[in-house]
Amino acid sequence: MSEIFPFQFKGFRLVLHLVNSSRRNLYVRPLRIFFSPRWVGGIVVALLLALFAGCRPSVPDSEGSVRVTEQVDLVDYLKATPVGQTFEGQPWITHTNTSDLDQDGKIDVLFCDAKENSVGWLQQTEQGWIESALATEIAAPVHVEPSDIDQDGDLDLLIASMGLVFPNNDKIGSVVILENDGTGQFTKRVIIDQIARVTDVRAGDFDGDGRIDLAVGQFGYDQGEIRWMRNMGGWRFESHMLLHLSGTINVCVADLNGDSHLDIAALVSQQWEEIYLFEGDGAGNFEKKVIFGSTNEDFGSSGMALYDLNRDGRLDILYSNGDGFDYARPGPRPWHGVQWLENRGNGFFAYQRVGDFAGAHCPVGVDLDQDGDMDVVAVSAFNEWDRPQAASMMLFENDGRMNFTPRLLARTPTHLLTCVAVNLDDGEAPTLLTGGFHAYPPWDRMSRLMDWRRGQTP
Amino acid sequence: MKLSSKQSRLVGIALLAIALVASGFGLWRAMDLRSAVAAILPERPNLDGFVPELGRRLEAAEGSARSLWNSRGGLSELARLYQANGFLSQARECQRSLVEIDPQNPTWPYFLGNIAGGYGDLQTALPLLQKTIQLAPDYLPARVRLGDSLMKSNQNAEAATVYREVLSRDPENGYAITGLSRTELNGGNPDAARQRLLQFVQRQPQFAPAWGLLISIEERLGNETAVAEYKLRAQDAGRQREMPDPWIDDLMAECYDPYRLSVAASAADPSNNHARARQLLERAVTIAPNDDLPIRLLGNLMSDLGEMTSARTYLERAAQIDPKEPDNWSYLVRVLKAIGDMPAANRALDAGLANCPEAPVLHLEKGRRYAAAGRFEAAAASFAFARRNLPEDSTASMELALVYFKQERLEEGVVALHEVVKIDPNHPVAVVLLARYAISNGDAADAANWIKRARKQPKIAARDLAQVVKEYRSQFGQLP
Repeated sequence: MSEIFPFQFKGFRLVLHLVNSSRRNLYVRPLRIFFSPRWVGGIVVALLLALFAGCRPSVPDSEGSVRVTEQVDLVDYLKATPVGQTFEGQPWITHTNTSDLDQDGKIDVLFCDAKENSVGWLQQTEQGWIESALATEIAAPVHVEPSDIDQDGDLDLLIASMGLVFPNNDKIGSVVILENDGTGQFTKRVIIDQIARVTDVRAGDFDGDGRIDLAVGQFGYDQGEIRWMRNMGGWRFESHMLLHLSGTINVCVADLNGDSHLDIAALVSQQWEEIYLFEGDGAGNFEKKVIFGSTNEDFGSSGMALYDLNRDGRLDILYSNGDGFDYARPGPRPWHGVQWLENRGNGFFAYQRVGDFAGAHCPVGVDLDQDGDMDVVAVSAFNEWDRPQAASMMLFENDGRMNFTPRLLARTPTHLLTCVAVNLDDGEAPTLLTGGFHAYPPWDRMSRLMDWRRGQTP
Repeated sequence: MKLSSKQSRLVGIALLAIALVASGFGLWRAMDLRSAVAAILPERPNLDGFVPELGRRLEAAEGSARSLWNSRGGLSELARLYQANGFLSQARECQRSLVEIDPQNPTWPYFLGNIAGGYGDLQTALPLLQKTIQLAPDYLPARVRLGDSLMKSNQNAEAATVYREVLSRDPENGYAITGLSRTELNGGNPDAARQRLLQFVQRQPQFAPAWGLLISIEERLGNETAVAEYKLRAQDAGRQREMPDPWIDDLMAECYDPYRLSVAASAADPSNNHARARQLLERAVTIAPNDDLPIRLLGNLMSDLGEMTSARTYLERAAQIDPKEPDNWSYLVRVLKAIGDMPAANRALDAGLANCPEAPVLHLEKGRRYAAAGRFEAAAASFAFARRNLPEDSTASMELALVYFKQERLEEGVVALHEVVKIDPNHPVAVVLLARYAISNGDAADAANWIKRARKQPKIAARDLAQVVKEYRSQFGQLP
């Protein structure tokens, strides 16, 4: 008999005996255990203690996990009315913006039409919206921004011209300024052309010389850029590159880090899917850092705007991802939606999801329900339009504590790419104005420009 | 030492007690786990539009998750099904629990970190990816994603370290090389990034992401010649490629959404991963035999692979399922022409136009048919229609120009060529033709401009460019 595996403890001894009871077979005989009986009780007590001491599998409860909120249907909340000219074919409205262009005290709407290659104006009058063209023959305009760039007391218009909306790697973009002569007549000034496709132009004095400079986002395709352009006077501008990456959709200008100098936040899509903050020092120098980044190359960044969403005195970043134009057929992805980056000060931002929304574009911060907090409205350009329940406009209602409840505002018209909130002269709730971009089928629920007003109380 | 009978009884009782306690403990754990899992099971999402099999599998997985002995397996199944089918909130609910109750399985922190990182929630993603690497140190996609997440969190040095660790295990990992180059670029060292990428694309010229970054760097450095050359090389390499990720890719075997499968196949195809694209599309077609999208995509893939008979069968089926979709007809016509079955191509085109009378892509095809038959007026009308309705595509304008030239309507042809270069400023045929037109017109300055543009277009063969320059010299007595 051989004795192996001896274990000697303080109070008991346990020995395993392997017994070769035959010449052919090796088998284990029942254990012979030697210990004092009081240790039996000890083991039992120890095991019971272990049971109640919490050696149980830990499963996180649902608290703190992603909140799945039931979507509320509010399709009758807003009444939609087509405004502006009637249309033939498929409209391609790429941007809407607000401005009291004629400085009559009433907010008007500016818009870009990439099908007609024009920039238009919806003037707010007592008779309703009146449409007129401000400029034509601007190739694929996709952003219009009012700014008194020449500081002569009237609003000029900064235009981002892509050249072509659809993917193109050629240098066909340009920055155009429509100079206002103060009587509503505009002179077209091409500030720079033959550059990677331009998607956004904003104004700001970045070097402290008193002249208004430009921040320019260039999507390009495989190659793109972000630059700021120093205003040299006399409609001459000098380019300073900030980033050489493709896919810039928006550049927003504000003092975002609280140092009293203008900064530039830039949304860069394509395979990068990042938001950059270029922190300005007021003398034309910028420090770059990434303040948001998705590791999903198909995240589909689609739009960015600045709002003080939580009303803490700091501008936050409201941001949508819903571009579905890659791959097989334009359409939604499960991660499409809206988020906000909470400005925590000193250039630090914290990611917060607002909600899911297939094909989300153009997020707008607006107190739509007039309850004193800022809600979020977004439109969809890439939903599953073959499914009748697909939403084209959503409200994310803020409960005042930055919890957002999704509410479906509209299913039709489809293919909404742009949206703007307008405070009309009547003091009522804000009106929304949307633009349709019908570059792919189905073409049965189309719109060009639509006015959305409160129809009933929710 | 021998035990007395009393001692033996005591030992027996003790052993029984231990066995009972251990069994009770196991049972208690199982019950506790079952109730804990049951409490966190996500609400089943709306499955409208999905095949019933997904609902059945979810129900079965929920049943397992609520069972006494397989709650972990059931929850795992649910997590995979939800993620594979795009129900990411539900997938995260399951994965958060699985990270705790199946702590040695590296896929759970990876999936959860991947979803979080995808949403840009890098604070959540980073520790999960680090945990994945601890559990599965050889799974390189996790390391690359960790590097990407660190870089997007402004932790350049840490990201560079992670990319270097990947390269120490796989020196030819293009994603790590591209990532490391980005950290160098971010760190203000474009030359180092450029060198690294240049060496890599010499070894692996088909790796598209490296070309994209290299071109951006050359633009930043102002190297226009290199930019033009590399753009051409990048075109050969195809489009941007997503990183192969077996753990994520395997999830598609659980996918019941033909659209997601089609998108995944379209992402795989440009990476020349035809086998995977085919596998995904075939699954989509099996799941949704009456959805024309995956059938059309499969037809196109077969066409790319040279399997024309199979391509024809798929495309005919797609056109039959949705005759109102112009792409179904246009791809079918293309395949039938490639096969050489012109009567069938003509019939398909006529059927397509009857079903989609406004489709510009079919009018383009119709114009080509007229042009081939010498009916230039009718061809010009079709091309003009296509151009009006495809304003951002230069093809119709180019075809129109060629038809005008055949009719000797030179001025109109030149106008059409100018339309082409508005859309595609370096269109090789248009640029050369415009240069020749300017030479024949005696406009030296204009001709020189077009020749200058032609020199920047690497697609124009050297002999063609030389011929144009020769014509210029002959006409104007000097070089442009």
